Amino acid sequence: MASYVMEFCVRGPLAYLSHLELMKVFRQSFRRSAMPISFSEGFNPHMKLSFAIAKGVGLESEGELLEIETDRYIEVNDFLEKINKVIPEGLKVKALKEKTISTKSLSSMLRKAKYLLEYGGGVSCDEYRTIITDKLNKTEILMEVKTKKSIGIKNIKEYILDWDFTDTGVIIEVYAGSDKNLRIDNLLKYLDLELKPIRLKLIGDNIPIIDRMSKEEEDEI
Amino acid sequence: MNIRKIVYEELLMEVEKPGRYIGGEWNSTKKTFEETKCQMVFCFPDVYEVGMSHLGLQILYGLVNDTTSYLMERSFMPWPDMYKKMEERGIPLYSLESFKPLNEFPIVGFTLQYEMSYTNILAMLGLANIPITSEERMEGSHPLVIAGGPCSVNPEPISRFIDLFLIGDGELVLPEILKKVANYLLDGKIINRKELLLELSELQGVYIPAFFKEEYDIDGKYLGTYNIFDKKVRVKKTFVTDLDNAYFPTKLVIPFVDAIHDRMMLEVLRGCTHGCRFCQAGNYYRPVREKSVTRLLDTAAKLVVESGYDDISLTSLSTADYTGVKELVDKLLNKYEKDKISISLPSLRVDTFSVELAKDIQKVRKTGFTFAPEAGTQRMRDIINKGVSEEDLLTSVEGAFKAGWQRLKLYFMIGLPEETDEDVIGIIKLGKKVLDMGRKISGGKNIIVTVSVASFVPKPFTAFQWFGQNTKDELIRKQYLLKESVREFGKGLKLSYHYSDLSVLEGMFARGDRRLGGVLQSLYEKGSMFDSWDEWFKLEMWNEALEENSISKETYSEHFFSETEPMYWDHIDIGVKKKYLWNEYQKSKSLEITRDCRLGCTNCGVCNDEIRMDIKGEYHG
Repeated sequence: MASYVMEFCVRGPLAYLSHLELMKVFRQSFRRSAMPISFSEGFNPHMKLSFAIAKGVGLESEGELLEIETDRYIEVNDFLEKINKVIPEGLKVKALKEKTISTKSLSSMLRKAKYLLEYGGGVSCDEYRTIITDKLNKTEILMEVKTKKSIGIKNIKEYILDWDFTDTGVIIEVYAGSDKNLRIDNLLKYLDLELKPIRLKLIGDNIPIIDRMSKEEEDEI
Repeated sequence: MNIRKIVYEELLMEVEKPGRYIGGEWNSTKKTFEETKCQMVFCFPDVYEVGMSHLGLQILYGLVNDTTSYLMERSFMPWPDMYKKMEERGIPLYSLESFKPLNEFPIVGFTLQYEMSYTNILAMLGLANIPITSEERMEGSHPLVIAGGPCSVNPEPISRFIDLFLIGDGELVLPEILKKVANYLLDGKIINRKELLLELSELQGVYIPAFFKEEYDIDGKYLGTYNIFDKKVRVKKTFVTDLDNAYFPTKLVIPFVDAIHDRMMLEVLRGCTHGCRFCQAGNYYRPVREKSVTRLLDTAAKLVVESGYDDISLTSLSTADYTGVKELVDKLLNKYEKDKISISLPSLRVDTFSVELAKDIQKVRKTGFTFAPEAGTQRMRDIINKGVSEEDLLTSVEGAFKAGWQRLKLYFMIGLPEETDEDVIGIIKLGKKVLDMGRKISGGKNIIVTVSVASFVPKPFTAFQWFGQNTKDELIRKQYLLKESVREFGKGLKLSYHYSDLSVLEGMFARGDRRLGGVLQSLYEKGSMFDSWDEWFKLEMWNEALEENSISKETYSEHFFSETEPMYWDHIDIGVKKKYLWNEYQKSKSLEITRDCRLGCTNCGVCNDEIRMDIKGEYHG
């Protein structure tokens, strides 16, 4: 038995798959890879895999996290090669680490998410910078947010951790996970600018993939 | 116009299930127009999830794309939300592989699976900016619009819109068509269309409506539809003679969005020998041709590796008839149990053999069990030649309940020839017996018995093709009788039935003629689509369209043909002889049974020197 955390990206039209559809793609891809993924016990056994967090429909991502269990140890490079051979174009597994430190689920370890909000044009970079700075510097940002059952008011300022401007957009870090979570579409609604969001990275306590990308690599995107 | 870019950036965020419109599925082809000689787009006139459940699509897609010279891409009817957005934004209907508009393909092919999808065919052509009628396409440069599938046995209601029908098993003729069309292409466009059509008309199974004309006498009475060059010519169905060695796809296109049937489909046989008198598929797909267990195991092994699916469905019209079914199921279970791959049998007979098979397969988790006695009384089952007795049903049901199944579904029909109220009430009586047995065996546990009752639609090339469908009022009266019977003595049964307006319209198309083309065209102009979906079907639109064309649907649906009266599909020859069907109709009236033709030929006329029944083992009927 071994447990892994896998980092993958979703690019192009596959971003439009729902959470369940994405789950299905991975289930089927693992089957095609013929790797020994573990199954749950019981009448209706299912593959042991779970995402750190659902990805919104339409959102591209460079750093989604998926946790899987296997019946036996698989060498990391072997794993990456096998899975990337059978996964549809638009998805790519970028890194894999054995999960040895924690027994907690990936979703409960998740704390933060980092996004790039790419400038869509219309106004100049400087203008983007001014407007965004101005909007994010407010002490309180109240938004109507849809929850499962009703509509609630949220101060989304409390969920924004940090931001930093680049030539192509703004990189912004927000809370993500089961404790405290900000959906990026709510922030985009507030900013009300032509911005294309890309999730760059999910960050958490003890999640075994840490700072895989250097600052320069991020800037490239 | 960059269709791909506009769809991705502007439309997908605005519609339900955007995964229907993105393509890029595992095993979808990456071949290009440039590297191939002729290209076709396979169009399924229903939403993606329905179309991707269709085995015929996977067979033809694999067959064409395994060649180096030809290309097949796919297109489906966009759901109304997407359809509207595409119309507004001026996006033509495109293929999921190359995102090319359909009118850039030399061949646009539709499958005709059910009559109520005809309006979607016109809506798809319209969205693709392809002139909808065959006549309009004769001038200028337009794709060849072709069609095949079970409804093409009576092509006339939709013949105004289709240049060429392919009647029979498509595997052999479709590559021939692509080859011939390739010779008539200049810069990807068809030239000398008429000459091409003449050449194509020589292929077996090809029906070109432009070369046939209906004839009427001076009183307007229909005399027949005849070939304009030679009155004697009829269109003969094509057959795959050796199914075991015929092409079968092992690299299925795997949809991202859940399809209705989202699993490996392994066709074990084609055809059916039972001779049920209402069944069109049973006649159309004759004779029975089986595959060998060795071949099927080999195909299954490839499917498992290539697909990533965890369920193998053994498909056919009646899988328990397959002579190798026990051996195949045992071997598949043995081989794949450790991989957590399950086996399913979608079409079982009403007998203990079938129940035993199902028991082997669903050792642990028991999902629902479905039986199709079709009629409620022995008299009625004899009329339709459904060789099932009440005892057969009750024994099978007992077996299923004892094995632990709790949910049972029973399929029946109303509106069959010679039906009396007693036969209708008999459906509920039989359902109740099943329910009581279930409750007794399980000790009153949560037994659910659903009685699902369809309204019978007489279909061409069946023994009942001469029979006039029940009126809408009669169908509704019988449905009410069912409901009352449940209330009186069938408490606890779940009852479901169909919307009778749809059944009548289906009846009109099934045995309709060329004049119905006008109705379809009016419906297209009104924006009718998704008429097989209760939520989109608009009766008023249909009534207006019928009125505009001075057509009464009942003239078609309720018509009783006489023995000598020409039928609108007489110029099509599916192999089964009209004389045989007429005899079957007469026999039904005197409650005479016709045996399963595996037990001895019943002279339907399909088998000859070229095509015959092909069975691989011993029959356990």
